[in-house]
Amino acid sequence: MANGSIRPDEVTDILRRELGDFETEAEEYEAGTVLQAGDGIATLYGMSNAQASELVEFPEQDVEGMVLNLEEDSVGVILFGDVDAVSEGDEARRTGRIASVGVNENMLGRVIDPLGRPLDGEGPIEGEKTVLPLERKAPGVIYRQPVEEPLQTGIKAVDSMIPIGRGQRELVIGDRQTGKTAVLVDTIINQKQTHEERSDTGDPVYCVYVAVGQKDSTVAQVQRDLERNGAMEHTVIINASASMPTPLQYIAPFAGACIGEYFRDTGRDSLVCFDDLSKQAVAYRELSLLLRRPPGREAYPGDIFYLHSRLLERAAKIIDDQKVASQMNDLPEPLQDQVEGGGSLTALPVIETQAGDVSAYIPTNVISITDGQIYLETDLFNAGIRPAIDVGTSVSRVGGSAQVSAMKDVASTLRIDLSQYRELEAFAKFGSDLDPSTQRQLNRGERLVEILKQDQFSPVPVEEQVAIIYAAINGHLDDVEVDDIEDFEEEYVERLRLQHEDVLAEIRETEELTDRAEEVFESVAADLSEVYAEEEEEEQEDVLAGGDGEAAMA
Amino acid sequence: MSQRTVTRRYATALYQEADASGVLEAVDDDVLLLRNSIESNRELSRFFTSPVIPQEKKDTILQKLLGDRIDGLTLRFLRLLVEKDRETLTKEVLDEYQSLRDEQRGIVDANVTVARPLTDDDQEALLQALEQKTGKDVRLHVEEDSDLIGGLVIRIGDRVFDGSVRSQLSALHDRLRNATLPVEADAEAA
Repeated sequence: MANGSIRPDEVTDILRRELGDFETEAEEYEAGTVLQAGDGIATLYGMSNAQASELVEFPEQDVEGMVLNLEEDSVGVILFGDVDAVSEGDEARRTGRIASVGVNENMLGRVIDPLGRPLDGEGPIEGEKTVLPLERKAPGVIYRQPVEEPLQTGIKAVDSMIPIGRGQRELVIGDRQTGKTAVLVDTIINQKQTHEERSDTGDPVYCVYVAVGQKDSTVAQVQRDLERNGAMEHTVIINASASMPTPLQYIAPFAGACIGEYFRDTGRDSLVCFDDLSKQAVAYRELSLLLRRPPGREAYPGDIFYLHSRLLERAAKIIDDQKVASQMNDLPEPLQDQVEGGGSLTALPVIETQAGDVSAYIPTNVISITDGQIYLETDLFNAGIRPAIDVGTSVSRVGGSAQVSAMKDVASTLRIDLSQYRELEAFAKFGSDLDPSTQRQLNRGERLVEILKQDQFSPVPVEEQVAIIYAAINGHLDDVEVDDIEDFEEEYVERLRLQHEDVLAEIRETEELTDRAEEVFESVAADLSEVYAEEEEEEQEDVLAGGDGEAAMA
Repeated sequence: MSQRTVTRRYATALYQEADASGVLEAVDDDVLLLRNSIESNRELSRFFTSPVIPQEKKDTILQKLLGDRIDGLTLRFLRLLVEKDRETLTKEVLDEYQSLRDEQRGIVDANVTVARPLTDDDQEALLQALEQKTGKDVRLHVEEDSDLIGGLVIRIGDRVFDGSVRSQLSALHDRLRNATLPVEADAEAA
């Protein structure tokens, strides 16, 4: 605050005013004594009226904590902040407040910790905050409506075959280094278009990226990537890095859900990415064991399923009916008069598997909670298929009704074609002669895999996805060399953009694949396909002229 | 098993037995006497807590020392503690018994910390005020602590009433630290 413009008399003035307002009043509070402290938890004696998940303060140490265990004559508290400062014999006070986080619009574009304190060094978050409790019951059945509006990820493989709807919970699962975070970041970047002043991209989606137990460097990288792609303006990053106290890592996803709910309950759409929940589970296991709760399978506590199910249940599409929505269950006091119907919270939780083992405890739990999963595979990643989505095991259980009809039309056979291709591919490895129809299917499959590849940070708008998949499904790529497909795709989209913008706009607005659009795609793709096929022939002739028969055959 | 669970069980047992055999008053007096003695007499407290003295000897000493001073039931109780190797918890068990009885009779302990000694009138007024506020009989324990600077801190059970000058000064300190300049009217304090 020290800048040159402050005059001494100004300071005196403030001090005098503050002194004038100061009233001497006896404080009344309930106190307890620390019996034992360490590893992020403290056991308190006394405080017999404390509530579960109530905030407790340690005034001398300036540390806060949250009540997690209520026992016969002691209270177990998890500590936020400087864990080592609290020691045996210290005084603790009840605050009467439930652990909560203050939320407002100005948080967008910021990096904060799970208690809402800024971490990015850009000063305090200004403005009035709506204080929402971390633990809140999910909206009940009557306050929800089915998921039917798409959340475009901009990733071709996802939007075509594993569509995600607003209000859905879609798990992103895979080993380390398979591009899980990349899927999330691309999805967040693609929401940028919903914030543009255009009516045809749906309502704006506000994003929250929750980093749990990650390296600070990784989080900084994510922040940089989002900034560089202009997506940080509509995003809040909550960081509970590996070096922060375990209790903060445990509550971080709940804080993320809080911020998402703020947008959801005020009638807007939000997307919350939990990266990742396996680390949160580990943090919770640590706390539970230290609090002497009995360990279960893989030493996780008995309520580890409930930990994730109650968190993910908060993802919802809220009913459009304003009257019903305003009576939503468990509405926190500060939100009461701000409620608007029609909002949504989409959750993209991440689970990291060990050596592709999806049948471990936490992965099976979260798979059963969510409405589908995107399964990323190391083998595919290493084979250069990125995003490394395994289409066979990835599903979306509710997103189908959220897919735009144009996409439905073109992508309906995509999944079958791909799975047939994979079957044949294994078969064809035996070499030997293949009949022409099998050869054709293999050809087609190879090209489909190729068009579903996509660079990072380059989301594709839905109408262009439709155009590309249309060309592939209808065989226009069959004569194009696999290596040329990337160029073909680029040129094809470029031509459509330049010459047929009206058609693309039409698909965007009506979400239908009209006859006119089909005609245009057909003709442009056929033209291009010819060009590429000719080039190919020329090349082959060149090689033949060179007299090297072997190379020509290859 | 936590120490509290153990002491509570023994204390409840003593109470129920005394109640049943109609010697509650006598046992109450005995407990008061024993607690005072243990507090004031280091030898006695060491006698109970020392693991060096063999069980038989403790038993004999107990009988000789207290045989004609306390009720038979209290003596049997103390000997039971010795027999069960719980005599090291004697003081805690007696304290627990006391708080059990206090609860039943509607007596609460109030620990008052003051900066300077209270006059008798003040003490009387304080007692009256506390009894009115809690609706129970109050047993006052006054302690002096000059760190408070002025005022007083009252602690009844888990509840604390802090009217000390020290805490008010620290509240003022926080307030001045968090005061914002008008030029940055809506900026939060760092």
